[in-house]
Amino acid sequence: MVGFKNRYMVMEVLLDPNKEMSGDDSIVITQFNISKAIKDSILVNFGECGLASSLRSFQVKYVNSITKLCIIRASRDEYKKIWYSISMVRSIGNCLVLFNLLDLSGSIKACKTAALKCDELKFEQYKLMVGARLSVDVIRHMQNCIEKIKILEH
Amino acid sequence: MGFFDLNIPYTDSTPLSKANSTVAKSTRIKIVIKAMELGYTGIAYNRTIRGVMSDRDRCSIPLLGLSSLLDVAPFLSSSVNFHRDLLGVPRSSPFRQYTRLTVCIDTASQSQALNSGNPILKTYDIVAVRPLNQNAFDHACEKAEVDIISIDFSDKLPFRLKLPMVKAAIKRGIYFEITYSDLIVDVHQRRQIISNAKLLLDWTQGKNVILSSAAPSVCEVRGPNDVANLASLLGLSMERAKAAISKNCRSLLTNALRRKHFFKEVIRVEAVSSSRQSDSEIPLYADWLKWDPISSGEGDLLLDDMAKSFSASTNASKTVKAIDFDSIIDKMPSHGFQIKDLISGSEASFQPQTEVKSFLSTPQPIELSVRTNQASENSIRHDLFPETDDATLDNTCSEPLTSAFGDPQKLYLASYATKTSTGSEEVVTDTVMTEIESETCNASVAASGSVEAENQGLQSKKCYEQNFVLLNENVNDGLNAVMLNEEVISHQTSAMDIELEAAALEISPPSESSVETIKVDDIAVDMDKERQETTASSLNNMSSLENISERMSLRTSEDDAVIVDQISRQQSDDEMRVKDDSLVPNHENQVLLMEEPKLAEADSSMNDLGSVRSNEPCMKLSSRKNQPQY
Repeated sequence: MVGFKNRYMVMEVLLDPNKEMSGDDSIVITQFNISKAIKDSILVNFGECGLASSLRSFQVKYVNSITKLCIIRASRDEYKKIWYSISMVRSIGNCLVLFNLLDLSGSIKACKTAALKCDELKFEQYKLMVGARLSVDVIRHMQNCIEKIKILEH
Repeated sequence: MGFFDLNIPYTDSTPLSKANSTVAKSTRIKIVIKAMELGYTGIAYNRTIRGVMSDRDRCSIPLLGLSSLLDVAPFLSSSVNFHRDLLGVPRSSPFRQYTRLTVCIDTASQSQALNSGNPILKTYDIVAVRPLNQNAFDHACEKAEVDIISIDFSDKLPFRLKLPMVKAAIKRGIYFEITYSDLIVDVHQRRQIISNAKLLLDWTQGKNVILSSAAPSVCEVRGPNDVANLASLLGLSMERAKAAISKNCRSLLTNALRRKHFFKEVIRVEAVSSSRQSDSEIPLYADWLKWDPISSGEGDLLLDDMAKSFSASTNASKTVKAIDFDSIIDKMPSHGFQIKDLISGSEASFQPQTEVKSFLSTPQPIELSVRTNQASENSIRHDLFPETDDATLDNTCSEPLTSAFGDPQKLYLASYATKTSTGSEEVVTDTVMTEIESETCNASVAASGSVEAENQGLQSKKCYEQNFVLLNENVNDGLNAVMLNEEVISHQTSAMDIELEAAALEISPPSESSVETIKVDDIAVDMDKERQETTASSLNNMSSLENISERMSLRTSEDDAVIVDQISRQQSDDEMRVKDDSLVPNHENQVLLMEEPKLAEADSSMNDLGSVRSNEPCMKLSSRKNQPQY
C-alpha cells in the first residue's frame, strides 16, 4: 500500500492583469521560473523549515505556456502551505502574476483528466482571443503539451 | 452557491483630479472583470467615510453595466463560463453589484448616527462600521444598526476584542469582516493580520465571519478557493472557510437588503406591472415563488446573453422598485389623493402616446433597449450618468410595466424612486408604462407612482399620477411612447426605473419619522379598504385605482406633459425589483405582503413583453415561455 500520498494542483497563471488583452505575453512561463517563484514564496512565508519540509515532494510537473496552465505536486501534509504560498506569489521575474487554483486531486489520474479538460477549454479561449493570428506552430505546440499530460506519472 | 467579494474599494472622484478619476474608474472596471472571471457572483463597492456624515455622502456609486465591461474584455463570457463550471456555480446566475458604506467611528457622537433612522445610510445596500477605539467597538457590537463590523487588522489593534462583545454582536446578526489583500501586499503587515485575525477566528469559529479583499488594484484579488485556503490556514476548517465567502455573505446580503427594502423589515410594497395578461399560462403566484432576496436591482448583470451579443445585450432587468417609505412620507398629501387630478393627468398623457404608436413595432418594452443600442447595461441606480455612454436605460427601460391583479387580495403598491438626470427628463417612462399597460389585455391597473427626487428639481409631480392614469387607460394605445424617446431614454437612468414600474406611489423625500409612520398607516388602511373592494374581481383596476387615487392626490395638476415625460427619481435607493417576487411561504415578509392589498401585481410575465429579466436563475429567460423578442 502506498503510505505516502500526494496532492496534485492544477493551477492557471494569470499574467499581468494590467496589460492589454493581446496574445503577446511579456514573459514565458516555464517550469523553472514558476518553481523558483514558489520556493521563494515558501521561504518568505514559512521559513527554512517550511521550505525544507515542502521541498521533499514539491515539483512543478507540467507547464503550458500558451494556455498558462500548470500542474504542481505537493505532499498531502504540506499542500495547504504550498497552496497558500502560491497564492501569495505576486510576480515572476518582473511580471505581475496571479495564480488561481482550478482543480485539486489526490491521484495523478484524476489530475490528468482535469488538466486535459482545462487545457482544451483554455486553448479555445486562446484561439478566440488571438483570432486570425493563430499559427501552426502554436497548434503543434499544443499537441505536444497534450501528449505530455497524457504521459505524466507520479 | 455563489461567491461574493463584498469589499471593492470605491473612491469618489473629486472634480479636481480628473486624471485620477479615470484611473480609478479603469481600475474598478478591471477589478470587476477579474472578479467576474475568477468566478465571483457578487461584489460590493465600498466607500469609506470618516467622521460626520453629511448629505453629500449619499450613495452615488455608479454601477457598471455589461457593455462597459465587455469593452475592456470582449471575451469575458467564455472565461466566466469556464471558471463557473469549475467552481460549480450555475452559468446563468447573474453577477450582482451592491453598494456599501464603511463609516470610521471615533467618538460616541459619531456612533449615535449609526441608527436605522439615518437617511444617508439607507441609500447604501450594506452598511459597515470600522471602530477605531474601544468605546466605538463596544457600541458597534451592542447597539449600532449596521451589517458588518470591519476591523483593520493590519496594525496593532487600538482596542481589545472581548469575547462577550463578539458574542453579543453575533447574536444581533452582525458580521465580522476580514480583508485579505493586505496579506498579499505587504510582508510586514502579514504578521499583524494573521495574529489578530486568528484571535477573532478562534472565538467565532467562523460563525458570522466574512472574508473579502479590499483590493487596491487588480493584482490583489484572489479566487474563491484560494481565499478559502487562506482562511483555513488561519484556523478554520475548510468547510467553514468556504462558507465565509459564500453562505455567510449571502445571508448577510439577505438581511441587509431586507432591512433596506422592507418597511420595518417586514412589509414590502411593490408596483405590479400592468403588462401581465390575465390569460397567461403562468400563474400569478409563480412570480412570487421566484423572488430573489438578494437581487441588487439594476446591478444585476445577466450573463446569459453575453455570448449572444457582445456589445449590446438587451437585457432588461425587470426589477420592481420597492417603495421607499422614507421618501414617500413627505410627499404624502395630507388631504389625501384626489381623483380629479388623476383623471386630468391621464388625459394629457394620451397625447404623446398617439404619436408614439407608430413607432411601436412590437409591444415589447424591450424594444427600447434594442433601439437605444447602447448599452445593455443595467441602469445605474443612483447615478446621474457620469458616463453617458453607459446609460443604462435599457435594462430597466425595457421592462414592461404591467400590472395585473392576479390576486385580488393583494395590492402591490410599487413606488420607486428614480433619479432623474439633470435636465432632460423627457422620460418616456410614463409612456412606457402606458405602453405596457396597453399591452395587457386585461387592462390591469397598476398603481404606479414614481418617487420623485427632490434634489433634481424635477417636478415632483411626476409621480404616480402618471402611472395611475396611464395604467387606467387602456392599454391598447399601442406601443409605448417610450419608443419615442430613445434619445431621451438614453439619457436617463430614471427611465429605467419608471418604465419598469407600473405603479409607484409617489413618495416624497423623507421627513420625520412620525409623519412617516402615520402615512404608512394610512396606506395600510387604504389598502385594506381597497382590498375588500377588490376581492371580487381579479382585474379590478379601476376601482382600486380610484380608491387609491382618492387617497392620493395628484400633485401635478399642471403639466400633463410633465407627467408623461418626466419622472423624477429620488436619489435614494429604491431599487426596482423584478416583479418576480415570489411569495415564499415561509418567509415572514411574504406573509405580511400577502396581507396587504396590492394595487397592482408585478408581473413577472413581463416576459410577455419580452423583457429580459435581470434576476436570478429562476428567471432565466430561456426557461420561460415568453421569450424576449428583439
